[in-house]
Amino acid sequence: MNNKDFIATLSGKLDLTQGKTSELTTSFLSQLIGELEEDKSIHIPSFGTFEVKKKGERVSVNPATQARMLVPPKLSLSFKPSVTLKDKFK
Amino acid sequence: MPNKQSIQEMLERWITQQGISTQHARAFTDAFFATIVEGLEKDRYVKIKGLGTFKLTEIESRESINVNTGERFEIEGHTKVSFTPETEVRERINKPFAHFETVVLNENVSFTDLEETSPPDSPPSPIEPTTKPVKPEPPKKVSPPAKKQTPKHPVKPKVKPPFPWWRTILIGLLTLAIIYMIYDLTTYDDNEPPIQTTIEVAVPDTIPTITVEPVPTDSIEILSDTDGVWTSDTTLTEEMIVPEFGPEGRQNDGQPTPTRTTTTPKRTTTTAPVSTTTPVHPDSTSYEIIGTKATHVLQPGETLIRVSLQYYGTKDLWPYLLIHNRTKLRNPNVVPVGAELQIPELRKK
Repeated sequence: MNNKDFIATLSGKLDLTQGKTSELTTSFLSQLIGELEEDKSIHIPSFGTFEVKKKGERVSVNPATQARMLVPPKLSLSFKPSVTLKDKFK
Repeated sequence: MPNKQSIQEMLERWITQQGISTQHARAFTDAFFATIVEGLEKDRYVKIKGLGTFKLTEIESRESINVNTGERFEIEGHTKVSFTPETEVRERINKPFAHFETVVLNENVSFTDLEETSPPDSPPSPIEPTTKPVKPEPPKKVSPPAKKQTPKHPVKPKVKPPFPWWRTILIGLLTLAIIYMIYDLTTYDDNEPPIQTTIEVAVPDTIPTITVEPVPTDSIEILSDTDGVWTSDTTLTEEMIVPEFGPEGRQNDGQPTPTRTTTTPKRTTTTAPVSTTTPVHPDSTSYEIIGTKATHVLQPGETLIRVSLQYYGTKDLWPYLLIHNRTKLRNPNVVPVGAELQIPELRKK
């Protein structure tokens, strides 16, 4: 299901136009990402948790050249599905 | 750690920004996530612009071991929900660290220097050879005629490590001087020499050990009594002769000789097993690494415990593998497949 299908399904559910739904979605998601940027995790009941995790720096080796590289630390967005969601697809 | 909050708190902020009713907002988010689940059911993936992709991935069944009981069991194959954030989102999240770049390291850069002062080589092995050659020296200098006991000492590889070779010689010479003094004082007859050599032989071995136990002081008399027997009897072992002679040196001078008396007997009795056997009693503290006996390339599914079991017959000696391979293994729980491990030779302390 791509973004277009997603918006179409969602608009059908909410009884809104696709344009309006798309607008709301964009606004909602930017709010969500904005909250996550502030180092907060967001829990959505019966769906899962979005969380920003810090990955430490590490040394990686290029298997072809054996060159060693220091990979810097980074923040990454992770999603942990809730137990109900997990069981649903198990 | 990020502080956890539920979607409601976030929605409140969103509502004030957007100017829509709480009811609407809640209905929207409920429908939003319900649609994602629906999409996953239908197409096994959902791509949302401005967030990322949710996907169902198959996890194959695999074997695992119960940590508590050690039993093997199978984790059945199942489907897992995975989420990959969009590149834009990823960049936004990583903004605080965006200025970092991957750096290619030069070959000589080593992080081990920063954390450990000593290289993870096995230091005892080079020391052993230096102490061994010292042994034959004292007998040559003092009393060459008596060679009775000399064939025995090459069997004794058990030398406690870090002791500079020159110090060993020095102490050896010192003890010899003392022995001569005693020799003069007690005015023994000429049968003595054989016994003397036995002591000189024992000296280099025993110096490094520090255990001193009280020894009966009247053993000199015993010595003089049985003197004649020893000179003629070649089958007598060192351990019998040496402890008798030691106390003498101890009475006159407290320094190096006492160590001899107590430790030599132990040594001679243990020499044979020590040189050949691998540790029998599983114990992760009472062994020392004396060298490398093999190299082992880690196979998939192998752990340090299994390697330990393979080489030592016990699971309990894996910490030595870690100590000996500190450059390659940072974390005992993460052992890379294909890593070449040096299997240390262990010896009971």
